[in-house]
Amino acid sequence: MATFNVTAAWDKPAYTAGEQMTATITGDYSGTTTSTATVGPVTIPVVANSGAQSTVSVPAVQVTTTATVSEVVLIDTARPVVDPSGRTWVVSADRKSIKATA
Amino acid sequence: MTITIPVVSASGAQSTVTVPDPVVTSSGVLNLPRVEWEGGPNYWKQFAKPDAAGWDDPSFFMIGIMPCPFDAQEQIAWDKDHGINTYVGGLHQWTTWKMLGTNNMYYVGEHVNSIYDGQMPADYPNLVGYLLDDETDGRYQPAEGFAFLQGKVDQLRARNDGRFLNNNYTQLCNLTSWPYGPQYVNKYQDAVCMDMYWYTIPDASFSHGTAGEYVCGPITKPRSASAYGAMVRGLRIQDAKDSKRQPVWFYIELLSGSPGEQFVRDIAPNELKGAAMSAIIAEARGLVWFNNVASESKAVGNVLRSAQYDTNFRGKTQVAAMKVVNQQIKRLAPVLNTQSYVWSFGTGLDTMLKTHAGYAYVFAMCSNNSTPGSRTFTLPTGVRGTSVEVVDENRTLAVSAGKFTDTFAAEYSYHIYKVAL
Repeated sequence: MATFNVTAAWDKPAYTAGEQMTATITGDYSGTTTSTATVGPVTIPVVANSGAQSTVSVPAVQVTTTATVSEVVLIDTARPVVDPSGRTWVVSADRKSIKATA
Repeated sequence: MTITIPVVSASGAQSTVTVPDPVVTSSGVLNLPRVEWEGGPNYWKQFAKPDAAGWDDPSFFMIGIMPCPFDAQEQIAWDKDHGINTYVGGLHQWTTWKMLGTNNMYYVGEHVNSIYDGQMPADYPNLVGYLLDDETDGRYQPAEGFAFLQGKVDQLRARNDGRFLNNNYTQLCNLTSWPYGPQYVNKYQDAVCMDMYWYTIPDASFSHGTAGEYVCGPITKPRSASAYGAMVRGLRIQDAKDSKRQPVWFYIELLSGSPGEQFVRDIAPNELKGAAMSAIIAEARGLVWFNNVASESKAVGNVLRSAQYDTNFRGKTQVAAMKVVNQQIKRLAPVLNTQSYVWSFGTGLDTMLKTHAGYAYVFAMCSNNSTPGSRTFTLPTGVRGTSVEVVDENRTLAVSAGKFTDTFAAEYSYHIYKVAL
């Protein structure tokens, strides 16, 4: 199951008015990838006691593989930071933090 | 309250993460220019008597009354209970002036010689200032008025006894067409006062006061609370012309300022409160309540005393309203005694912005040229609260994107807002 394991924290426990406040996100996104492969058809050689030979075929089968992967998470600049106080937040270049003036 | 940050994974999955609102310790001030002032409570430190009396204490705000003699403890106690702390002129030979000291009340006048208490000593501490005159500009030709005041100033300054000088003027001093105002306002006294009883004077009195003839601009609705503040703004403009500020006080009629020959009307209780707050919003450093009614048909010698003893007195509700607004001003004195900020909250408003103890205070009324109703306030950067306490009204307002909205029901309505920094 896909899960965001992300938290955000301030760089200081408290700020004095006028200081720069920074909140940084950490964590990742646990997603799953699914791959499908076709196995077969397989031809199996067979032989009788008398020595007669033949083959038997096993039809092809679809094999699905699911793997868990970890993805980097960034701040989504396509959507706004929601702050009821109306402060203006700037997203850092690496998209890992937001900054505003206290 | 939380801040919500949108996040996205490399594969495009979207979510949000929240972070608690940051803890911000206010510096207590806003990054805004200040309204020029005379120094607030510290102004009084240059005068030994008011300094010693505690006028430099930020919890003191001068609320005077004129004239209001007393001769019994129950009378001065009544006055004090109604928020008065200073008598301005009017004490006479039947006044028991020693009660000033025992009641921590002050006098701006002259030494009283009383048949009860004798001669007030030269150094009596509760006589904090001298009253030069009343409406000198309206009673003398300018040259005579200037000479009269200079004589008084020379006499009183020679005493060198740590008292300030105060004088009261008419609206003449605010007229653009009258060139003598700046000299009256700036040359003679240390605290200047003006009276203009907009609510209760005859309509004819407005003829030379409208259409922009005042230094503060046009007063389009003379019979309104905001007209009182406009006069304070005008007096401050005149006071600034010598680049030396002094405290500006303003008179408000406690019942009626109608002239002797013509009674117009009494001020209504809500009008009285609105007029007082308008003067405060305009940066008045003191109020003086005009305590009699001169109109022959409705004359009252002492409004405050009549309310105390006459159960059928017509001015009881006005006196009660004065008590309410005086006590509100007294509670807010530590806020009022800070230097205001220059900030425009929005259109159609007269406002004053101050900060104290981690909060911004917004004192607001409708402007004189606007119609009562809804007003939207835009808060300046640095005011961070998300809710607004409406002081003494038991209600709060929400801040959204740095703005809040409230309603002013009447021209005299005022609100005081308290918002966290």
